[in-house]
Amino acid sequence: MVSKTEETQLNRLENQVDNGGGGAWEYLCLVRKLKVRRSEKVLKYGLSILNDPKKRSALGPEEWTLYEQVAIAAMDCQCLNVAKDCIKALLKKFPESKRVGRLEGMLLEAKGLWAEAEKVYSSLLEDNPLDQVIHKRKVAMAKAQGNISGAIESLNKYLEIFMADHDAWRELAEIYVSLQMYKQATFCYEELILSQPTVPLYHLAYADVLYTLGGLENLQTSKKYYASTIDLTGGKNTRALLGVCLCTSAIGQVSKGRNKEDKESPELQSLAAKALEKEYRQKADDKLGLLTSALRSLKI
Amino acid sequence: MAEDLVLDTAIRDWVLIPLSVVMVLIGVLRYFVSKLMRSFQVPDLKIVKEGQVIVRARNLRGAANFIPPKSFRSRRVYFSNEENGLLFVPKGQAQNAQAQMFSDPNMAMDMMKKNLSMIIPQTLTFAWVNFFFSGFVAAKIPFPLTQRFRSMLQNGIDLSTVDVSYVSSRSWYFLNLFGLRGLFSLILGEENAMDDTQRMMQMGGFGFDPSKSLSAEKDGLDIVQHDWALPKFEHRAEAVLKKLVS
Amino acid sequence: MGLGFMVGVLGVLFLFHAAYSTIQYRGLLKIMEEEFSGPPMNVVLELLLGFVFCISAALTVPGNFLSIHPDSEENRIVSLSANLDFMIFNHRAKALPSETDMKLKH
Repeated sequence: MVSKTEETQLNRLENQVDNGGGGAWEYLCLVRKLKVRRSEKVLKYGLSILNDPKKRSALGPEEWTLYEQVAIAAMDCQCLNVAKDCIKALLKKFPESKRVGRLEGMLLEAKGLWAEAEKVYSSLLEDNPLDQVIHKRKVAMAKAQGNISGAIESLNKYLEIFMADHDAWRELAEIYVSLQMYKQATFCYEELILSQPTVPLYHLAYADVLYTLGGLENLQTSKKYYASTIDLTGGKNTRALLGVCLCTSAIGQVSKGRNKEDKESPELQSLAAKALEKEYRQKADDKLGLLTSALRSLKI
Repeated sequence: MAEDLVLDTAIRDWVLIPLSVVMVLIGVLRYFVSKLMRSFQVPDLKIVKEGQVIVRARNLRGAANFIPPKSFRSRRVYFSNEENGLLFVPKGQAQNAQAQMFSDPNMAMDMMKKNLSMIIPQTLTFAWVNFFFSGFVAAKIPFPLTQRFRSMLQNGIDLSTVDVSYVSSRSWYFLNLFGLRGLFSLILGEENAMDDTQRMMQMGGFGFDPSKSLSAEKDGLDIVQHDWALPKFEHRAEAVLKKLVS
Repeated sequence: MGLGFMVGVLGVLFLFHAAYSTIQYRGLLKIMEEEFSGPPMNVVLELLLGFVFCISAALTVPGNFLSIHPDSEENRIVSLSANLDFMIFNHRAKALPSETDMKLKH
């Protein structure tokens, strides 16, 4: 979850670090806290801290967290020798650690040595068969190999045990969407809405999937979820505004013959259109023409 | 009590301070001993799963109004049907937690360890305090107290005429035993500090029975009235947009 | 800090002064052998004033209030965090190796 203030703070820090203004450690901490994927920058700035003995020792025990962060970022950037050195340093400090063992498995994954990685993970699971992260790594590995059905299967098996893990539900939802299995994806998004009902992005994704499914009932539900996204974001989510417009016109098309007007909120669409126009005028005045023509084509 | 007792400074030097220091040191020692003896135990699959089911059912109960009625109904059936619902515990299978505890040697072993690190030093120090320091008036607290506190503060001296604000040495021991948590959290770090009262609470809550909470959750889920909140959101969105556009 | 803190200090002083006045008043009553029914009016006023001062200081000094609206800037979630537990490594970085001079020196 990244809120608006946190996003601006992250961007500000990133700018500052990019321009050599210092604050690299704060930036890395924020990246870790917000769990965003900025591997290239983490690698660059994390490495510069690690290579500076004075800065490194100033971190105290946080040093090892940084090693781990940099190792993963290096794998993500395919700088495998950096990752290997980081893991070696960690291994020297924590020789028996499972967490380092996991990193080794991930390194093998990054190299593409699937069988070896599988072996590492299996041996780790023998010690603790309920290690959630390792189970997730195995799912990711199946996905990385292109074995999507296998990934779905093991993810489902994982969710049978750890059914309160919303990250896994999200992953499953995204996989289902990528395979165009929208019915299954709606179930996952419902689960996500249940676990975090005030996150507008889940409402938005759920509405998207319902809109894609089509059919009168789904479209009406979808419009409601776009509306709830608007309410939760204070109307600052452009996608939700557009979604309301699209839904209304689609509902109009589907129910044309039956003349079943949507009595509940007749104004919502025109208001959304107005809000869109206002937003475009503020942020991208030159694209306003495109918007108005698009809205006109929806017969608004 | 008109005239004050004058406490010998030797009592301060040889009773009050040594007692406090010893209590702190014993607390630290006990922390390290229990850290040494703590065994990493792999959580049981069934227990983990039951915990997760409860969390998910609780989410469903809490946010039921955010999903469409059809989805809610299907989920409720999935959780609480009488054949194979996740929250359904067949009668008789809800085994007695106590019996289970004794059938599992690991659990008994763990309890033993906990007991060892708790009771043995406690009895030893109590015996030690009793032997060396019984019968001293060790300190005076700077505010008056009512008679009810006498048994708490003057344990070990049987004088009903002494003002209640004087603390006997044995009571000082008890005060230290239960009141050093703040100091330990400073010495050992926030989450490591655990005083004896908490330990005792833990012991009391040992016979926790997950099947009970499962059926409680099932009952809670059965009586939830589903009232879809989303139609309301359309009006709210309208209001929001009206404010935004104007 | 500044002003709010001073108001708080003033409020606490008022409270102490009110307490002191009440004690004195009771002493006076004892001498005059009358029953104590309640503190005099001006002490009650002082007490209320001190109370208001203390409350206002307690509300302003420790920090600003955080918004509870879901659509406020602090709470409005604009993006989900990357699902790092499921991160996979065979993406375009494999084909486009970045700077190769990076190395962990020790």
